[in-house]
Amino acid sequence: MKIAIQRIKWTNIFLNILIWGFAVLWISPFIGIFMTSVLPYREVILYGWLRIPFDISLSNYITVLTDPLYDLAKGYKNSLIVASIGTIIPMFLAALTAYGFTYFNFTLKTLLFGLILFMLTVPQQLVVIPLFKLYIDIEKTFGIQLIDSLIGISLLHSAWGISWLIFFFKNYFSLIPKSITDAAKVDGASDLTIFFRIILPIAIPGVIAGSLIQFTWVWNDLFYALIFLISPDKYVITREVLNIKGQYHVDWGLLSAGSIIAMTLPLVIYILFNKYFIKGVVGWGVKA
Amino acid sequence: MGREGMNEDYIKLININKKFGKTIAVRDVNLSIKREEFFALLGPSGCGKTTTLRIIAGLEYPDSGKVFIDGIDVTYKEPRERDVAMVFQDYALYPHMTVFDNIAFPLTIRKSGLTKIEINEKVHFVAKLLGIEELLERKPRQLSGGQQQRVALARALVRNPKVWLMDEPLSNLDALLRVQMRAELKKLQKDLKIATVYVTHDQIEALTMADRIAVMDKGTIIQVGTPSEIYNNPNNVFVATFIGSPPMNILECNMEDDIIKYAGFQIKKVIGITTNKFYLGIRPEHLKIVNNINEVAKNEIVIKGKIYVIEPLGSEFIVNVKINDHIIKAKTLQSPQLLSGEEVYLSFNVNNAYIFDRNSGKYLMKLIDIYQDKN
Amino acid sequence: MKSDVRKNLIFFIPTFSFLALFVIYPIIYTFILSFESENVYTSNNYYKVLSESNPLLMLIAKNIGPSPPWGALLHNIVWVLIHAPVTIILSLVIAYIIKYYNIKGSSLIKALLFLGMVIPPVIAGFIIRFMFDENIGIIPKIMKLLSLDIILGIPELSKTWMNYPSLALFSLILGSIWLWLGFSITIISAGMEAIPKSHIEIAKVFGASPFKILFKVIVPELKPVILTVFILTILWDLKLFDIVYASTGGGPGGSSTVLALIMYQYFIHASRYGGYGMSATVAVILTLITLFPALIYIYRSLKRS
Repeated sequence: MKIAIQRIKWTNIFLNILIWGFAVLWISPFIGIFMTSVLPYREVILYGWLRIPFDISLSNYITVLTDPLYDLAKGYKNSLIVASIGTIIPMFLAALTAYGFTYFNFTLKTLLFGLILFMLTVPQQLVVIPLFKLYIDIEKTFGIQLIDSLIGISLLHSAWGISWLIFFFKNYFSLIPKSITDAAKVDGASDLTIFFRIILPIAIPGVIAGSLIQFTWVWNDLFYALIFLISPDKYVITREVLNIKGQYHVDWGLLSAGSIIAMTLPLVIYILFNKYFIKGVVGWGVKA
Repeated sequence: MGREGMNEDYIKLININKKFGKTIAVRDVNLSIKREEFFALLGPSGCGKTTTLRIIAGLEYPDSGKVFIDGIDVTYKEPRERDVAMVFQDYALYPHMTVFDNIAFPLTIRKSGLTKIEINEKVHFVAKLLGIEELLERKPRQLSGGQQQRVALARALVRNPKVWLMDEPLSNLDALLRVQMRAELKKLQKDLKIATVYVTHDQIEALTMADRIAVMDKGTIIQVGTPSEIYNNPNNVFVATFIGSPPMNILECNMEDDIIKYAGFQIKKVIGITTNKFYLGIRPEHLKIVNNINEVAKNEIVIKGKIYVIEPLGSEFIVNVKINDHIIKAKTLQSPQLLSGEEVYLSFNVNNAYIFDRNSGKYLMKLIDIYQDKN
Repeated sequence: MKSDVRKNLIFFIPTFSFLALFVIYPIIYTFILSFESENVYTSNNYYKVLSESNPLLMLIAKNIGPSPPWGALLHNIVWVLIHAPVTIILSLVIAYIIKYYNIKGSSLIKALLFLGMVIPPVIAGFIIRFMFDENIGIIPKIMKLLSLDIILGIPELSKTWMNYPSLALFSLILGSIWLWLGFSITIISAGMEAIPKSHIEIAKVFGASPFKILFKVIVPELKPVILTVFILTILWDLKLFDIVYASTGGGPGGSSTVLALIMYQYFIHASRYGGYGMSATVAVILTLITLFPALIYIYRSLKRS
């Protein structure tokens, strides 16, 4: 009996070490990037980054943020603007439409919802060319500049986010008991009133989860940025960091610093709202 | 209660039909509910009572037919245009609002021109009426089931609605509270004199609270009447067995040469009935245990059987008697002092025996109408 | 009820107008464009795009040798064929050990591994490039340490993988396994939570080994979840762009191209290829390929609700 318990303990200990070892191994690239960003590049090459640093320097960060060649500070600001607008607009529109899909019955409902689902499956590549031409045409005809404009790209992100947010919110709203909207109707509320004063307040956790995911998605985008942002002072941060990587020679000190800066916000959002993320993702995966 | 206009039809449903997909929920429903009446819609689940209620509320529109409230055609009007209030089975309180805001909600969202002070007064008035004044600042999740119920009632009352609609409001409460609330609700309704439509599947609730009951089954109304009418004069075997606890005993009988034959007895000299097969119905409380078979009175029929089991209910006893393979229940006030398996004689008066058609279930006549006593 | 929508158009009109302009119209127009070349309508684009032999642009190579470039389409397919099974098996094993062997701090571990989903893919591309760099990256160093480069006879293993056509694609594939492991572990873990403990206990009572329990008891009950992970992985691997663009740009010599990248190349050099037609064609091909697994995914999620 004692031997069996001992064996079990050893197995558990071994597996604990294995899994934790694996986790450490898994996270080492992040550690490596961080180390490379705070140590002089030369030292990294000569001595590796796997050591306790004795002379940390933030020069890479300072360079990458302020040097007009890289100007990540501007990129950060641009990303904030684009991600914010690109979250608020779709969130609002999608919540409204999700309400409609949840609480109204009408003949076109299945067709329209099917359309939404179809749009979910399509890759971004399928829409950019006409959008690019559309923006050029709009500029030519109306003089409104949408290419190389933060508003322009924010609108594109908004449109892209609406479909999945509708799906997301519809699932969420359907968890709210129907008797509550029935009661509100009998109490005399119009659908818009019910939407703003009953459903939205109750759905706040879902709204937060959806917004965080959408914000992160927009922040992380590169493809739209490559196509629709042209002048460096309009670059979002993901586009900006790309510039740090030279064609032939990579200054890893600068690139890693830039990477860390670009990652911080999504990382912080994730750490703070971890629960919401996981719940949202698990909802996607396990439900299907 | 001789108030003028009290007897007029306040809520009228005319030929209401409603289908959901292929399922018929409500078929040819006609109802007239009076101004201060407590009217129950009673029936098993799926009978259409909730759908009927929702059609009155405006949460569903009928496929055909009309709905009138206080003389106005409201068939296709939205709920808020009907001046009705509703209480739901799960109370449907707004979880993110305080009790006060929940109750005030019907007032705050209508452009009723009420000042904040007036709203405050009204909320406090109904809260006091229902004994929940100390709960006004709490959130629904902090309340017990019974308290949430009262908040739902308060919210339904605050606007002085013309009509009160209730969808099984007591079924989520525990038994003791339910009995208590039944009396309170009935008193409240009597005091406030609001036309009330009350949906329930619990026949005791309907019998104790309602002025009139509509018994429904499979989307149609089987019978409308006062509790005593429904109880004493059921027009259908469905109503007869649905009302009453334990349910009415139903015996399948055959007629041969003027003799009703059933496994435990024969009834001779029966005339005036044309069907050969029918149901004979006798309520448990109308069956007596016969101690001396020679003391059976005129117009009483005797049945012989064996005691199956006796269920003591405190103040009364349910005696289950086996006749052939059939169990008949009798309700007595005293224990029969018999054991399972022993022979027993039950008797009933022919005035208390109902005859129903075997095919349609319709009430035909009472046994007394066709019975000729030998004496 | 019919009047519901009529009185409440605001719930639908703004959204669908927006979508009509920014999504529906572009989708339709891209399809049309794919048949356009030099301002003429032709189905030639599809033929040209599929028969292209320039490694930087080709979708399917004419001669398939032992090492890439094999053409972007084949690269995507190889990606799926390696990524999906490896991720699923790895996730099953790890999730299994974490759940049933009392691993301390398991939620922290899962949260940590999930980081890969959260960072910008372009940054992930840099990190992967970093991992495989011969000077500062871990992988080449490990290869050298374990002398795998000598044992397997592939000296490039201890150098920067991205510099060699034979290794570039695989460095990215391995990187993507690393990156997205957290996602599949999370989902499979959640699926395992739904398995009643009693099923496992019964198997243990019958003396089943851990392997048997995992593969004979757990996996069958996880089939729907596994299928979901499988489909989602396929969808990602087909649509990849950022990671590749950031780390190899499709090189060297087109040995790590992917469909989305090819679409981009045709786009920015549109004037060279007679307009945007070719780019649109690749976009359509990409869409058609992803449509199949995507529709399966949607069909299944609709069935569940």
